[in-house]
Amino acid sequence: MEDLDILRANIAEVLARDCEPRALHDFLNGRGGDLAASLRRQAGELGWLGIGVSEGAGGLGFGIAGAALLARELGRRLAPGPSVPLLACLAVIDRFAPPEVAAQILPGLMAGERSATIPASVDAGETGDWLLGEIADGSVMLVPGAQGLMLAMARAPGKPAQYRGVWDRTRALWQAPSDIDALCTLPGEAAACLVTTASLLVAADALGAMEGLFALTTDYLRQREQFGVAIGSFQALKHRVADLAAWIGLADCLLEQALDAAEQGQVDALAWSGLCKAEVTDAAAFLAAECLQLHGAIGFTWEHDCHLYLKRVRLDQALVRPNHALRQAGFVELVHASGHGRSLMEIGQ
Amino acid sequence: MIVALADDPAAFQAALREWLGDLLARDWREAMEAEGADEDAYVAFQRWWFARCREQGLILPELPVDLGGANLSIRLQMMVVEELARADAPPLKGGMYTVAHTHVPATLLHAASEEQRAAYLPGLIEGDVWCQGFSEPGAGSDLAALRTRALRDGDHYVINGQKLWSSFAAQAKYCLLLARTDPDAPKHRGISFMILDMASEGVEVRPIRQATGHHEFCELFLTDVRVPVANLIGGENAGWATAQATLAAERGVLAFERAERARYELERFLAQARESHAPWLGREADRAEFAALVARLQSIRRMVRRLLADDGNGAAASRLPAFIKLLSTSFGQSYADFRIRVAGLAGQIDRPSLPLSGSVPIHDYLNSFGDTISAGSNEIMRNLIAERVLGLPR
Repeated sequence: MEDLDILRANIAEVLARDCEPRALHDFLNGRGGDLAASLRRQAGELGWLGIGVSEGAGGLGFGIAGAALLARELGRRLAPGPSVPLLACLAVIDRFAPPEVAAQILPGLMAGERSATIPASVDAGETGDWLLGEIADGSVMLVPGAQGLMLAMARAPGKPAQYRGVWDRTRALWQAPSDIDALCTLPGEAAACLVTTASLLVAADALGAMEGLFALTTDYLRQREQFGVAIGSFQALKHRVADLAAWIGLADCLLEQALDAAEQGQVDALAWSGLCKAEVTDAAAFLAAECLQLHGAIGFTWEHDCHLYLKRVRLDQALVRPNHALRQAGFVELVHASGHGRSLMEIGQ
Repeated sequence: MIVALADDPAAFQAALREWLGDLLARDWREAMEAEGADEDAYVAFQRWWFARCREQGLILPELPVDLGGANLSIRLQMMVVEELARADAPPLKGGMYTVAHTHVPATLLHAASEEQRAAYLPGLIEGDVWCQGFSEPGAGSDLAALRTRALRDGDHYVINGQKLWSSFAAQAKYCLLLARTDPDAPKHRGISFMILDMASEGVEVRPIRQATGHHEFCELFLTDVRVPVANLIGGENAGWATAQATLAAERGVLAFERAERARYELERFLAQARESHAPWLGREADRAEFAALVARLQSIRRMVRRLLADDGNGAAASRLPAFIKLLSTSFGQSYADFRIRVAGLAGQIDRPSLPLSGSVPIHDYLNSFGDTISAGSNEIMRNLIAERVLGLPR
């Protein structure tokens, strides 16, 4: 775990320098270079993208906990780009793709040379074919197929009609193109693994965003003066931020629970990842609203980070599966386990 | 004696399970409640349970060997608590032994002299009941405003004043007392911490009836009560720091016990709902709420484990207790609130309840206010988090 702590510190340091607010705002306003692309290449060069990939495949071997750590730091800094799809594709391909296909795709993905997409939501309906990530030439895609989850490669830059800009400008949605090169259909378990992995990564992204926005907010409450004193000295505001800090603590522990379940391959890993995604992203949306309000009018301006965080966690909330559906699925698993004398709540020593 | 197996954790655990299985009728709650939850019967039951635990060396096994304990590791203490929770046994550190088994050792090991430890700690294992004399009519959240006066008279203090919310004072042999020894000093610096023998002349105990109908806490009237100066814990006028150690005692194993019991209560509640085909199982909103409660409790259980894994000097020990107090007591209230709502009209029937959680939903709900208000109200916890953890200005 010490290695992961060092890596986390390195990632945080690099992002504090290269994804600082000015650069981010410039990029989101269409000025300056392509920050998303340069961060992706840098993440590749520094070996970050292989954090969760097995060592045999050239990764660092930290598994889903490693990938979630990276997603959390990227969320904390509002890093633009398809980090969740990239990390999810890497995890699923590493585990389920035939070796020759994995050998063809993983190195380029880990190097940050290729982009990736995954289904934005596994719920059927009119958004059922929407993808999260980025479609460019050579982008790796996981798309639902008739026989199961398909691994495919994008042939040419997506047509403009396929792009779906969203309020969260740090990320993008796309409509699945009809002409894709399918490389293979993955085994049946890959679909559930993708949902588990994406749920955990989205939760980690939202938790990082909560922490980043909360730090901004407590800084502001210490500095901003009204009525002759720092507004952070007002008890009405203290109690609100204390509750928010408690929500962050709960989210952190729930992510740990869901990551442990996934790492140990427990039968309830899917249920815990879903409950985690539902609880953490809902808490993040609540926290983002509170933090904007606590900032007052400055938090309502385009130049401030508040709205970026708020939009980021609102997209997180809608990804993977609707939170109400995840809670229902979690409940079904609780009842099922109860009926079979199992518990979802064992915690190993 | 089960505690003698501490060197072999697997054997220790197996012995615990076997002992609990033999000892406890599954329906001890129902049996107690059928007796009308008579409070004398409940006190007698607690003494019986204490004696059984004592036979196995399970009373304060964490104490050093020379003070009558077994120097049991934190890991095995957690195992004992977990096995008791799993078996739905009465709590180990709960009820009328809460102060004796949690606050007294924490205080005495922190601040008492060798002689005082030797004088009082072994008695805890014999079954001494203790109470706490902290709050007063004018000193609740602002505890340092307490006015009970201790006037020095030779080698005694003469105590005059009134204490409130003193749980199980009617059964207690001793009281952890805070009194003002220097009325001219700033309010935190004129307080002393001492041990009061409840049999002293001038101590009057009046039970207070709680919203649950039970009489757990009491009012203490202290009139010219003489307490030997030798009963001072820590220095004269240094009682405030000692009181912090007492209040901090709820961190750790007591928080762990609360969280582990809640886990088994939730699981038993779900199993009973399945067996009785409870209507709420089919309602989407209730299902979602229950799933969210399970997730919340699981987070709290992990947070408590982080605290217990801390060596006591690390960052967790200073940050987590206020969060755990706030979160676990609020959780208890939310869960009881859920149970009241799904119980519907049937849950409104007034039937006997034990002064323990896992009882009638409304009883547990009312009792949960005891948790959200006592030991530093949750509002005080929010102040602590904001000022000491987040560094907001006072």
